[in-house]
Amino acid sequence: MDCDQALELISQRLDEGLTLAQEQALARHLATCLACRHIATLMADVDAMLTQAPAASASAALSEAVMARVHRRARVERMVRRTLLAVLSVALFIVGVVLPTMHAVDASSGGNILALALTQVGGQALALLESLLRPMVTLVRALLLGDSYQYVIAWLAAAVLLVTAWLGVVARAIRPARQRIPCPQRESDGLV
Amino acid sequence: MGADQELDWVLQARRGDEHAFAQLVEAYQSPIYNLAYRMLGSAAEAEDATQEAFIRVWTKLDTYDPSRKLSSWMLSVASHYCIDRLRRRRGGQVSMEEIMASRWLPADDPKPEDTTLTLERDERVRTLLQFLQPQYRLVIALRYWQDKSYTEIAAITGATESAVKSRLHRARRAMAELLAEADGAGLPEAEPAMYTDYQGG
Repeated sequence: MDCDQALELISQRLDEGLTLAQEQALARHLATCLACRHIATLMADVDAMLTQAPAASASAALSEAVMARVHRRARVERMVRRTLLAVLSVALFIVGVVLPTMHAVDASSGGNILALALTQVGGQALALLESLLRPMVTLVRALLLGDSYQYVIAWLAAAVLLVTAWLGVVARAIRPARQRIPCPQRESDGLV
Repeated sequence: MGADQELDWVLQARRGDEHAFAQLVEAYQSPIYNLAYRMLGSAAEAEDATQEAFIRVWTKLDTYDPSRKLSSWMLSVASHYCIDRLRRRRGGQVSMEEIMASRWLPADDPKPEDTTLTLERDERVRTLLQFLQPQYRLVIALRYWQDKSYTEIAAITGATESAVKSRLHRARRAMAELLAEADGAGLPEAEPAMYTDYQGG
């Protein structure tokens, strides 16, 4: 046994003890190695010092401070979730109801009134959006100005996206509180 | 407190039930504060870190896997936060004079002798721990003040059991060398110390 192995055993002995063979091997090494004997003594001192050091006590107000911050955080989360839900709901309504209705009206009138109005009034806004968010603008343009084939594809993409996002937010909001999660290997917790 | 009760609190807290989360805070504030105190070395920082750790627990509750022990998961979240905090920290190195001073506090303290000794021991330990790198500090804190086994420490730190054993050994040895150095005796066998002062990296 060399010194490194001996020192590891000295440390291990402080945690979980050694087997008889390990104890004997370590004893043989320590009998001949002054340096390891010295470190063994120091490590025992360190172990005693750490064992005797008291556990720190938190102030009585700590849990209240924690819960105050959690409360603020939860309030912001709820606000964000409600806002997101409202925005998604409005967007879903526009894509699901308003746009098909406008397209139907536009098609039955036989003209291209919607496209013309959007081109003139929203042209500049669309150009700005396009430079910032080109893929999204392509989708929006197809939704608003596209012919039947482009429109249907874009409409489906937007609808799926919005429904998925909306369901995600709603599912988080209405998740049952006491649903049990299977945990076959759960052990009892040993609290300090 | 049973594990079933804790799991109920977790499930209710996941849905946003703050009262249920308050029960978890009450149950775990002591171990988490203790870990933060030993990692960061200051009561004020430990209180702040405890609050931040619980905020992280609150926001990460969805990621908790009930097959793990809740205490191990919470301590893991807290220890990661403390290590992040130490990485952000710059300086704060401890001098050998501080260790010397903490070993021999003046005896004219008006408090009772046992209280004085307790404070002295705590101060000495606190000072020594500041010399260790965060991952060594962490295993010492988990072993001595959370009474965790190698297996549990491995689960909390994400290291292997043999790495935990090795870190504990190196941490103890580093502290032994520091004590010997503070005594001025030195060690019979001069070896390079592993306890580099933390450089924030």
